[in-house]
Amino acid sequence: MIQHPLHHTHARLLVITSLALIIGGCSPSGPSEQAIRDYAETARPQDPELSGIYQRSCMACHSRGTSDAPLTGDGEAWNSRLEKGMHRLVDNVVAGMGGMPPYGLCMDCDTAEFQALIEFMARPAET
Amino acid sequence: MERRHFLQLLVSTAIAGHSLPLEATQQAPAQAQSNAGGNKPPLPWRNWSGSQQSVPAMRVAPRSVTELQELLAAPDHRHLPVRPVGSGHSFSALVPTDGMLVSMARLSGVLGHDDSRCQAKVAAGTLLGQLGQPLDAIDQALFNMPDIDQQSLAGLLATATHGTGSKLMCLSGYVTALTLVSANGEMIECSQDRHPALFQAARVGLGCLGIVTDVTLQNTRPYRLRKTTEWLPLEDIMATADTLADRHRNHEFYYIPFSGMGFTSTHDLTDEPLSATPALDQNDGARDLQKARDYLAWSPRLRRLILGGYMRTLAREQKVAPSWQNYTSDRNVRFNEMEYHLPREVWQKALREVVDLVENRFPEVFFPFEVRFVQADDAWLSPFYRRDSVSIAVHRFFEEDYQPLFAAVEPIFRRYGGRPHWGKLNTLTAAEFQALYPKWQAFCEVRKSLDPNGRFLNPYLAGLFRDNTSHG
Repeated sequence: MIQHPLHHTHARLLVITSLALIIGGCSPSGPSEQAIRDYAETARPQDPELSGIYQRSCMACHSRGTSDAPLTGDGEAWNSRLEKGMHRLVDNVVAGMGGMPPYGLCMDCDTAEFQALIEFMARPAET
Repeated sequence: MERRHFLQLLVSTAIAGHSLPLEATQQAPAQAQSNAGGNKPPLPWRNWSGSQQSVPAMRVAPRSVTELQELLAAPDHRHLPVRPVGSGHSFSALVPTDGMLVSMARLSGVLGHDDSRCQAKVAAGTLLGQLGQPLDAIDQALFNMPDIDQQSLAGLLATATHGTGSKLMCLSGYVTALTLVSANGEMIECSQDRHPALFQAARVGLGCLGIVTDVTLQNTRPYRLRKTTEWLPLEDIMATADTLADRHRNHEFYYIPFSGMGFTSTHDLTDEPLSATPALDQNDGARDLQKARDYLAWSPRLRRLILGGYMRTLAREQKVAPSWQNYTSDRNVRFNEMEYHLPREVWQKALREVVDLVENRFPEVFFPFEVRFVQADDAWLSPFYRRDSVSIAVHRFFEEDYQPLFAAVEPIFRRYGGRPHWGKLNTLTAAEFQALYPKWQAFCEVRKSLDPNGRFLNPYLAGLFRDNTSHG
């Protein structure tokens, strides 16, 4: 990547974090990437209304990871987003983000529905 | 080394000792108020790029046409202006309303088909990206597609959205019938034979005649395309563009400003097996061009040397796939866009002026210019009305001020007789549109007869069609 002075701090943090993981003997213990992909392909919210919205608005990207969308069930990918706070995530849906259109294509959803959809997608894959 | 990393290496080498990036004029992205956990005041709506926003009093997505009719006719709602919304991909002010925002997203899918005519009736809320497979299942395919597929069918038809192909019309040209619900809740079907004036108006209707509920499309049998992408000097691209546009089924090109280079993309029918060579990610490409702009805008000559040199190393790409998988790509880097459709005879002069202007006055621009070919049709407000056209589009990154660039480029497009894309930014007035569209007045009369009180007009559309009928 092109290096900018501001990036050096981030790079250093990344190296330190990686080393800490290695030294600490940490290894990924969650489901495999393929297991997450399989889960994302088939998972649906239990609530029929929410499931309808999910299939209509979210699934095209979040079940396949297109448009830079985090996969449904990829707990690790979602955790870094959840750390920003639910209100921030809902704001991002309402305003649109990256390839995601405003309202995440659900033009009649309210904040409770957006929140429920985020919680469903962020729940780690059941394998 | 990956090819993309090669560009990064070239840029970083060039900027050694000159590490201050260009100060871009940045607009802070507007923050939406989520109301998460609080009361439920109306949520703001905004379009994909953030250039348009409003706070609708109501947002609805009817589950049936009957429910839509009831919503429009309900005494409690009769005072509200109404605007339909698709996916929010229009940059122009077609959608914003403080009244009722209507999404047809719950009404989607193929509703029926006529195999002998190769036609399909499709619900208006269907996303383009969700149409390829169901059509394939009934042995049909769209004649053409644009380069993204997130738009709703009704939204893309209302704005005369198009792909590329000198013998292919914009998608509105393939509509054979449609149904809409008028301001008072009445359902009206139209076609060449039934309400023909309404049909000619509604094929590109800007969402101001009624809410379209379904559309019948003239399709073709499924086909496979070989897509070829090739990097070339701009002079070579322009020298062959008209010939290649007529020789290939689809032909378009992009010019990368400040590089002297661009790439052509052609599609041809094929029976070859499915295949794909490694392809550059266009979103990564846009980000790299932004970085090159940030670090090299101080020296156009060095920027051209590095970008042009890098692009000369890029190999030809090919992909063989079913048509509906081979037209579109993801667009994750947001932008604002101006696109004008020009007569085929003059597009080369216009493009050269735009390139000269940008490369002399706008070093901050990094998004490619896109050039596409579109066949004439006869929908009254189609920008391609009875005119084979070449579309030229310029873009600005969504966080950067687009107005100086677009204000400078638009007079060039207008001087060459361009008609703007309805979903993209322009400053044309009603009188200026009227001068460009022979059937403008006929459209106004149809609109007035269907919606005399202007319920489907927001301030932008009221300015175009009738100032004294806006609900706001």
